[in-house]
Amino acid sequence: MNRKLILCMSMIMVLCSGCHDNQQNSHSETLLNKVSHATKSYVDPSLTSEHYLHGVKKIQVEGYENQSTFFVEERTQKITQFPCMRCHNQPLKKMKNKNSQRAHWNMKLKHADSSVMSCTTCHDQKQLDKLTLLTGKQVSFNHSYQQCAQCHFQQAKDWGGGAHGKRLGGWAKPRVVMSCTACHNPHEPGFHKRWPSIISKVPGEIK
Amino acid sequence: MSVKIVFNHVRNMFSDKEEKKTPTPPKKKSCTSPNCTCSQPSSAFINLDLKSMIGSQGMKNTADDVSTGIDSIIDSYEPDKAELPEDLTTSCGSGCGCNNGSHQTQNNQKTGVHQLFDKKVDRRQALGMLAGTVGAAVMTTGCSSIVDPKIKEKAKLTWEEYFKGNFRLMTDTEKNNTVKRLERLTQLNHRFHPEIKSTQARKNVLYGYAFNISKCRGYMDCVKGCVKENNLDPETGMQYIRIFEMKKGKMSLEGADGNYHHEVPVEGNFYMGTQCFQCENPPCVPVCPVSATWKEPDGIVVVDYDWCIGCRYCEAACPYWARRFNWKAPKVNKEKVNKQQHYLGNRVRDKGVVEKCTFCIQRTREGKNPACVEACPTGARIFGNLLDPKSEIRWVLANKKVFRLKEELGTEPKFWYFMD
Amino acid sequence: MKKQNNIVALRHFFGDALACLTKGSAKYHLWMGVLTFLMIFGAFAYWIQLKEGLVVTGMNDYISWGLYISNFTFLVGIAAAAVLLVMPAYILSDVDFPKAVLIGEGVAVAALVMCLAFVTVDVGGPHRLWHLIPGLGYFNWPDSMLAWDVIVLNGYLLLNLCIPFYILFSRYKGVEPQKKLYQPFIFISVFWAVSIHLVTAFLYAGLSARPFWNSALLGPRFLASAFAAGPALIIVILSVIRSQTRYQIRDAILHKLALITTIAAQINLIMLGSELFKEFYFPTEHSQSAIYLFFGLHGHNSLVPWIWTAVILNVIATAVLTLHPFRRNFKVLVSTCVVLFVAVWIEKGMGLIVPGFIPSPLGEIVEYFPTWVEIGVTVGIWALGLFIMTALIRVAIPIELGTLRLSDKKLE
Repeated sequence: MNRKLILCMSMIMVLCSGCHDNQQNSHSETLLNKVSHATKSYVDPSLTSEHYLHGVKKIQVEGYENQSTFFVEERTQKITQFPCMRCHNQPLKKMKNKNSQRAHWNMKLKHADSSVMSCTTCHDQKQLDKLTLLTGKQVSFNHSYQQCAQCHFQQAKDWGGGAHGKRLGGWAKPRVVMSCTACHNPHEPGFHKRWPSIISKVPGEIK
Repeated sequence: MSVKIVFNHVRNMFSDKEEKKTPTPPKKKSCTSPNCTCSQPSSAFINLDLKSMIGSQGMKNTADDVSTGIDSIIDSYEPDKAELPEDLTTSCGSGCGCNNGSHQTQNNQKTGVHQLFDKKVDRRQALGMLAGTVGAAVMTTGCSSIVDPKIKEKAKLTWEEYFKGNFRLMTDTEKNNTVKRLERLTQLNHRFHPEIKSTQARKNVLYGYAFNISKCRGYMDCVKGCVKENNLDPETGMQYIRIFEMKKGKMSLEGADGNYHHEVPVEGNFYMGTQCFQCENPPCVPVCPVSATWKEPDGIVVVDYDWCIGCRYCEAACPYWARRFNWKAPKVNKEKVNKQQHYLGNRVRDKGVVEKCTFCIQRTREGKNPACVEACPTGARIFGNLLDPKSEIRWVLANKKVFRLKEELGTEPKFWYFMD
Repeated sequence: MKKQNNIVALRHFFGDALACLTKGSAKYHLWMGVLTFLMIFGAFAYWIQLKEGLVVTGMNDYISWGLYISNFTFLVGIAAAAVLLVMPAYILSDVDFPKAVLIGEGVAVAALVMCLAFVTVDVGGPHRLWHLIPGLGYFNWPDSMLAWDVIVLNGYLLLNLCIPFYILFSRYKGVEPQKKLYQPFIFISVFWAVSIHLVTAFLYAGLSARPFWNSALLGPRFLASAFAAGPALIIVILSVIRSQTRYQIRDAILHKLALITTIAAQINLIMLGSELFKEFYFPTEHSQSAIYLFFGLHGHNSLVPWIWTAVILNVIATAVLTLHPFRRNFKVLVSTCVVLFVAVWIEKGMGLIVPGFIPSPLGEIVEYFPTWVEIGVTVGIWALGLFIMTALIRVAIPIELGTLRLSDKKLE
């Protein structure tokens, strides 16, 4: 009698485990365990997003040497009227004194306090084709992110890792990211209020 | 009915407002002075500008526009008009997998009749084949002289499609056949020729998504991008993504406003987006009585629209309200439709089936980012391969304090929220 | 020879049954005529739904199940309740019951047909239902509770068609049905009846997404309410039969059924009480649905009068049934049973399904109002069920009375 009972029980267990085994495993192994496990045998899926870049000229980002290389979009060639020295062929003071038409009249600096930031905090006074760091080191417009990183170091860290900013192309390699100024107007870096671009339709009453 | 009218009214009013508003702010920003050398007209600004322009156009179109000339252009656009049907007729039909197209991978030497006697043909397929033959016979004998050959072809293809199997269980050849049939049927029914892919999941890929709550401003560009990419019918108002306006001071979605109509962002509020989280342990999958939904090896939970019976059990089972049902046949606008499609993604859906966000499977399987990620103007959305230790998503998981919605349910969403 | 006889007898059986169905009093014809009209109206409404899609119903992505699934849930309970008559009759050999049992099984068959019809009208692609057939389609068993439900409902329908058919056919031939042949199936159907309702309860209780349903009490409560509403319906039907036909149903049967109904209704009330306690002693976010149902949420309160009607009717009916003098009075009993039936229909139909969806898992509140199409289809299916039930009982009674018999002349 007892033996029969044991046999019966074991039969039931075998029957149940037939289907429940998989589920048990998936419950006990968390997603993160699974991910770290699969990472060990990770081989690059050899997928590229190069052709979604549509001929964007990429510049390798400097200053993030301890992580894998990534790129920003070439900037200088996209600036209309570059090089700046074509107009700025005299020192700034001289140009200001002239009674000629004022350039950059529409430019307003809404970036930090006026006691902190002025035009020359970023733009090199002598070499207007370049930007300047706090130390006086000249930086190309292609690498303007270095300038932002001086104050916004936390954002720069996130940007380098991928938690801040946007990618060009796709998720697959190569990693080409938008530079800071692609989204933030450096003279007015905040985002503006606006209407949503679409509305959601909820049936019945509007809450 | 009256509610619908009110909604349409509100939307129209809204679209008017929208048209006026969006294109202006970017214009203000771009420099007008010829001497200007400032960095404003940078690519992103141009992008934004263009996007908003396109956006406003889209809005105009939804309101009411009449297309005239384009019709004829689209009509003339019938690629392989001669080639495709021929290809289909030479295949023995009913999805038995013996076409002589270029995609042939298996069953190289078999013809239709041989395959009928092959062991692999199960009862369903046999029934399908039989039905297909009978259907075709009826069509040809009964009304051959009267009916337009296009209608005949349509009936035949519809019939064959009706008896096909579950996509997950199809062989590669069967998949190719059904894709070809669907492309042709779309051409016949909706008068445009889509490119429907059936790209499979890649090895070493598991998709993950992160959402930065500090960055989202509730502009809903993602929703718009999603609607456009996935061919959602604006008339039914179906949207995969929801953006909730939440009061600071609590994290619960209870009492959050997912239906705001005002300028954003509003002081004192933050914004949180939801969509399908592609759970690693999805509650919606086991409940399906016919296995019309499953998790792909790359982690995306998909629906076979042609296999779904529309019982909506999965809709009830989803704790994130991520699934949508086609309560009526969605309208397809052949001018605006996205022709880059995937069998499991944005292809034309019938009424009475469930659909959902697939992380834009038609894009992501090709290495692109989902449409919402691409559309987001604030960079709040991060997408990537969880298995790649150097991916951005992995960096976020390693360096940010992340959380997931309703983690206590054990669904293991592959969608994380984080803050700066 | 014997086989041939059986085939001939079968032919006569159906012939006689049809004759029995088409003849009757003006009252009977009027009743069937009204039901047919309602069925046609339901079919018309369903045709609209097929053409336009489920958009013509009041359902949406927020409330994805409505009137159809509510009625389905309730009717599964009615079907399951037939077991309460089968068990004492065939297993305990209670002398009073066998007469009522065939009626109970007729009710079960009608309820099951209605269940299947409600599921069919609820799905978006009824033409794709062949995907459920194992072998041809892909039957996701044992993972999906809906797959379990399909098995359980169809199996129960088969059992409830076969057992009474065997018994009636034997009686028709003038042979006493062999207990050995049908008793094993009776045993199976007893377990099956409990399982159809538990499986249907698990269909909801297994959804972690919907805290209103995700409760261990849901299954037992389903059983309790089913064993209240089912026998209540049968009491009503038996009273009608008693007044309209020569079929003798003794008072003892009604008394026993009334007792079962009373006890089940009492248990149901206790469970309702414990559920209310759990939801309202310290309401959490998971209690929102219950708050919506009983008191309304943020100004949305369309179900509040509905559920309070059910609760009040339930309490009144249970109280009346509990008091012996009332229960013994047949007029009071029948009207109380109607009240109880309606109360359970509200409570376990719309009162259970709809609040499960409110608020949505993301906290949004959208209310549900059925449309005329939905109501039309529902009425049509109820008419279908009543039609089937009337037909089955109509044939069963003369056979049981012995007036409908296979005459030897016919065989020769």
